[in-house]
Amino acid sequence: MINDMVQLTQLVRELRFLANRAHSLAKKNLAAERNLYAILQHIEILEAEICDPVEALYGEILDGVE
Amino acid sequence: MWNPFLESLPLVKLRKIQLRKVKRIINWAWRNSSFYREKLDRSGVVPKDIQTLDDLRSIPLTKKSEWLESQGSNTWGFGTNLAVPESDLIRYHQTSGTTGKPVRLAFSTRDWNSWLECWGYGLSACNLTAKDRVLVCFPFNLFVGWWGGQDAARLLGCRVYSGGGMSTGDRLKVIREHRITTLMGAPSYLLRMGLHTGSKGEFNARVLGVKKLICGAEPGGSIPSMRKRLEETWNAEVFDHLGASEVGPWGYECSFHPGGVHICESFFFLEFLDPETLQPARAGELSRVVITALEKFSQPVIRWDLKDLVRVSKSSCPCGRSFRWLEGGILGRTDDLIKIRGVLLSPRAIEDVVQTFDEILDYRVVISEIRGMDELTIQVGTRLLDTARDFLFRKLEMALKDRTHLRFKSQLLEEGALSKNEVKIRRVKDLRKEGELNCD
Repeated sequence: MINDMVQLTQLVRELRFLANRAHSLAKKNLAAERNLYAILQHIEILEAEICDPVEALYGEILDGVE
Repeated sequence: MWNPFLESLPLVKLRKIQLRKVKRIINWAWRNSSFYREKLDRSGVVPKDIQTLDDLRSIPLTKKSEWLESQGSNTWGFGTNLAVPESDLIRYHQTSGTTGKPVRLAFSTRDWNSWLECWGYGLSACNLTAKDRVLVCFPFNLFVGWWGGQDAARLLGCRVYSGGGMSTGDRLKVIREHRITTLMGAPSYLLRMGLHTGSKGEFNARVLGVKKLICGAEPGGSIPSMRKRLEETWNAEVFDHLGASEVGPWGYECSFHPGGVHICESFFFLEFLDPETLQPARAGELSRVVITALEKFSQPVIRWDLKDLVRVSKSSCPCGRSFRWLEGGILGRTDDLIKIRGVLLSPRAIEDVVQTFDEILDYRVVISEIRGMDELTIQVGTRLLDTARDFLFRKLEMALKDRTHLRFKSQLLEEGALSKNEVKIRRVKDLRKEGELNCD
């Protein structure tokens, strides 16, 4: 389970990177901007539920993988 | 479980995560909320002073009155405890106002999502799934109440029916026609709805097929006699749910029904203090709850004095969650005890007695002073007449005397005397004071 959670955290970080990048390109398109904003807000919840706890407990493993 | 990774984590690890989140929210509040900046400055605390969860105690408690004061007398605005730009806010709500002026509540998208996440823990603990059809019995006004429960049920994939602006009879028709499996609402209202048979006797709650009742806003869901009555009336499983409008949905009951509610420890850090000394209490002792919301950024809540009295269980729950649980839910409030002839009376004790009488449909307690003596009258709504009613009154008076050691006088509750509020009912009217006492 720990390995899964560590991997999930890495994937959420990648998702965050991609969503940020997409959001920055969507400034002139309201449909894209608002929906990507909603995705970013959901990613923040994933960070609260998964990434922050994993970083608090297994930060060394995460740092080692990077 | 909603998040088995966190819900089954050993407490030592959970505390490590909580500490990280406590540090972050204090830092956030210090930088963005002038309310908390001033509070911390006054007590000489800066964020780096908080290195352990025990260090939190160097910050004074936050009281509702302070927050209300910070919102001032203006009809607009959120006062000094707004920690995000107003343009980030997507929802406005407020407290129910049963204890006075409502507190104005601001939600950013992130905070609302966090709010739903906490509900997610509670609803998945009731085993709600995409197969459930949920009727939310709530007027859907500005009170934050069940808005979160409704949106979170959608998050779980349930089919949700918003029961606002409907009569009790109309709601019962929806339950029957749409084969509703789950009801959300205040326990007093759910009981009243369950006892409603319709003008032609067309409704019988026991056979409508409702499987689960999710109770909140009032303490009834954890009061044994009320639970039993709800279970029998609806032939359904009762789940209590705890929350505070300023703080969030912080407690939920699991389907193992250990006799209490779990704390949502991934989103809240709770301190349990001796009600008198405010020093840390041990598990099993009656304690006053102080709560810090770990994921609330628009209006941070740090060391909020909930005024609820609880008892943390020493034992683990068979459901496998490591989140601690509170025996009997909320056992009372530090501010709802009423002094009658020198005896402290808890509204919960009255409720527990009254709900053992199936013949009682509704009730209210009126406290008055006659020739310098406190008098207690219990006004009872019942369909019984004449001798049968007098017999019920005598039995009720004896039961109340046994439980509270106080003498009550019974009287018929006139129809319409009690507000038909679907959210919270005021059951104690204290004529000795200018306003009414709230026993929610």
